[in-house]
Amino acid sequence: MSSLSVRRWVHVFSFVSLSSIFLYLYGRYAYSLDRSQFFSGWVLLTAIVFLAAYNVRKKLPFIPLGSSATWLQTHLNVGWLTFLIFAIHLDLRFPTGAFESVLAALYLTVAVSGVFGLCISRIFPRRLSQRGRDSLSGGEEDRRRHGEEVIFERIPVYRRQLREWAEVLVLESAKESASPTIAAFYRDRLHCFFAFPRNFVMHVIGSGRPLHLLMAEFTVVRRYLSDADRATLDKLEQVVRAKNDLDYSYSLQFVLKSWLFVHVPLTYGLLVFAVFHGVLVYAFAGGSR
Amino acid sequence: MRAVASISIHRPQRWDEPFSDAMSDADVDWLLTKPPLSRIDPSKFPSATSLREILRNDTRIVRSQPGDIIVREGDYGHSAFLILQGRVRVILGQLDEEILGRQQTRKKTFLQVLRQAWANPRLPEVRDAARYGKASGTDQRGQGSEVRVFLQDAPAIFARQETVLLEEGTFFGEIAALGRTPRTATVIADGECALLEIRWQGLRDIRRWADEVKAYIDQLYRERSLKVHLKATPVFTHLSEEDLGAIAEHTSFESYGSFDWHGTYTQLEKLDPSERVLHEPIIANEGDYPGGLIMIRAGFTRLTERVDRGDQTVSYLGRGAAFGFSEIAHNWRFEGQVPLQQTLRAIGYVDVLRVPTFIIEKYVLPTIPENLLPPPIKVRTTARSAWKEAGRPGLDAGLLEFFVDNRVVNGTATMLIDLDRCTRCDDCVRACAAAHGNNPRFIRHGKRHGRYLVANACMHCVDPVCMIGCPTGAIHRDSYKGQVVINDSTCIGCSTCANSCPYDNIRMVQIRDRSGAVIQDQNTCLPILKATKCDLCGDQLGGPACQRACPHDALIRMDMADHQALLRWVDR
Repeated sequence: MSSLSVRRWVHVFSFVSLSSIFLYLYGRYAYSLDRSQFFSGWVLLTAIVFLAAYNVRKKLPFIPLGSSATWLQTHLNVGWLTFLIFAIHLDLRFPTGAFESVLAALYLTVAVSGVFGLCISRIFPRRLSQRGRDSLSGGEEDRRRHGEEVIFERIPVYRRQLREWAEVLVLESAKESASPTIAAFYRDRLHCFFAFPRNFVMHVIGSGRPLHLLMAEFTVVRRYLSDADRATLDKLEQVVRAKNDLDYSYSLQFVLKSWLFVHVPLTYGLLVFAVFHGVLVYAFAGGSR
Repeated sequence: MRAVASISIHRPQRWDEPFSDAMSDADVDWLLTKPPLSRIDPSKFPSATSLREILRNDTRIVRSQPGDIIVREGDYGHSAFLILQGRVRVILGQLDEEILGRQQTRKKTFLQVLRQAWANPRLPEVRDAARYGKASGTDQRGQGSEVRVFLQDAPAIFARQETVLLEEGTFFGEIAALGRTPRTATVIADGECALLEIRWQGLRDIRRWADEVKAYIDQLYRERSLKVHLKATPVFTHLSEEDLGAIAEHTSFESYGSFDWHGTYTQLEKLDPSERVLHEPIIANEGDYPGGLIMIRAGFTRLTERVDRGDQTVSYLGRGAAFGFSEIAHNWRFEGQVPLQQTLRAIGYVDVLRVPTFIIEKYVLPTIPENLLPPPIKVRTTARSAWKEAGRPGLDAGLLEFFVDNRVVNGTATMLIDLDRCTRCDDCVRACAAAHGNNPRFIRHGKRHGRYLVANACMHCVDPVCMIGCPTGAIHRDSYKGQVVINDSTCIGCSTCANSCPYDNIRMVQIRDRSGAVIQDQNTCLPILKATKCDLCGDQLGGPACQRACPHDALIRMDMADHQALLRWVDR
């Protein structure tokens, strides 16, 4: 069994153990007619504070607080556990009060965004590495041979390079063959394509339909061209495919980076609301026992 | 199509760029009167590489002032020295790292580490200008790569340290130059002296054609290093001192490939991989009689097997590894004789020792413990297929070829990223920046094979060509863990290391003070440059920040010599 599989089983085991311990203790509170909601509330708050602490660990990478990978695995385990605690804490009902509803919605948004982040962090990297810059046809010899990792911040530069390359092809074609077709095709169909990232959603869901449709238009145009212009169109097609790959990379990396802008700020909001919720509970419950 | 005019030039020759432009005929005449050069018979040299031409093109006369540091212990050099006039002192003990222009890596305390959270400058490459020029005990003269570092109070250091005096006519630095091993001692000018610095190509040719020089250098190596090397080789560990001595007497020294391989590497890189292999000199050929045990003393080799019409890489061997023992042992033990099963090729520059088969049969095989004997060789009767054979252990053939072709195998801390797990979050880059005053010391970018990326981060090479030629010794191996580090205080920004690094992992940066003002040379008003690179977070608690910061275990700093660890990581 590989080391990652072993680790996965260790985490499944620890999740089951933690859940069992929680359920056992919760059961003890319930049997003793104690306020079990206080117990589950405190455990849930502690767990959320611990989950939020991972972001602090990330901000202080130089402090030897254990590896980020260990933190993430623990974060995931505790995160799954909070689903269970949350469900028990709410007696499997959605609250009716405005404040509690917002608090519950905040928790659910943070938790669901976390699950979403987990899913895409397992799926998107593989998709990116399968269709990276090495599938771009416009690179130099070395890039074709070894491929190149596309850095997100450099994508606008690559996009501009591809647009300029396409424009050079179109202008040279217009100058040398005096045929208006390629220039018109570029103006009407490709100019917008090269100007911005395109087909964001389709790339995220992994659909090849937009490229397929565009290629069909290339086929339509090709039949009316001279041999020289067909050669230009072939090169243009390569640039379009390269731009499509770049958009693909942009879309996936954008999602990989942006989900944290939901998950992290809402976690802090959740913490504030949860603390306030605790204060209110104690204020109106006559104090803790 | 427009016709492209061709340009005719003279075919580049070996001595188009002599070691020194200042070497004149009169200098060469004078050199030929100085022993031991005067004792060499010039007629033994071929006309294409005559002794005169070697001296004119591969040597230079260096005049040193009292206290000049000529070579530093631990540095890598590409030249040896012959004392023409005056004398030098070899320091037998260890000088302070600071005197040698190095920094001593000290771990930060917890509070110092914590302080980085708020004290890191917001601007890039901020330095305290006041700390430059305060190296204790040394000073510099000259400019650029010609700069000379000298001890301010050499007599006091000579008095404190145990030294050996070398007089006129003595060679030093030849073992490190030919073997690409670190200098074993620091040598300092004791008074004014004139030295003949011979670059390794010239020394190699003199050694080849002048028997007395060859005997002298080989003897030095036999006396100083060979027995140590033999003892460290597993198949010799059971032998007595006497037997080891006999083996050392029969061991020959061979070098393959180009010493300056980092220059030709960029050219070779453009070739098709199947052609690239053909440019690597063959040390021992598959199918040949196993004439001796080959031990790698320095550099890297590629092991290939003939498959179909090409050569497939099956492994790589580095310093300390041996080749050919299985075949020799098999032939000694069994009736059916086998030739060499694989080809051994030099990647870059390789220095090997060869122990003849009859010596192995006489001294090693009769006494070797049974557990050290390799299993019998099963000779294949069918041709090998290029297609990956099921059940064959080891790395995927394509990945192995990629690592060897790109000489990633040189690294002791190569940054490998598994792109199937990397979410491109850049936590590694941010952690690196946070641990280095807000300056990342690597780029998450580099050569890629399938799901694996070799990032542009210093690999802390086994064969650190970047260390050759640093005029101040600023780039050096850390005495604590052996990683290659740069002392910012003594780096003069000459870019020698950055130009030499074949992997583009050293960056030259402009520096500024806390206000943001670029620090410049007061004479030329040009910005001061400093070489920067990954230091493996030697001063941080907990090891490399990049690896610790990766949430998905996608990034690792890998010692490529540890095949098992590499295999475990790839197969995890």
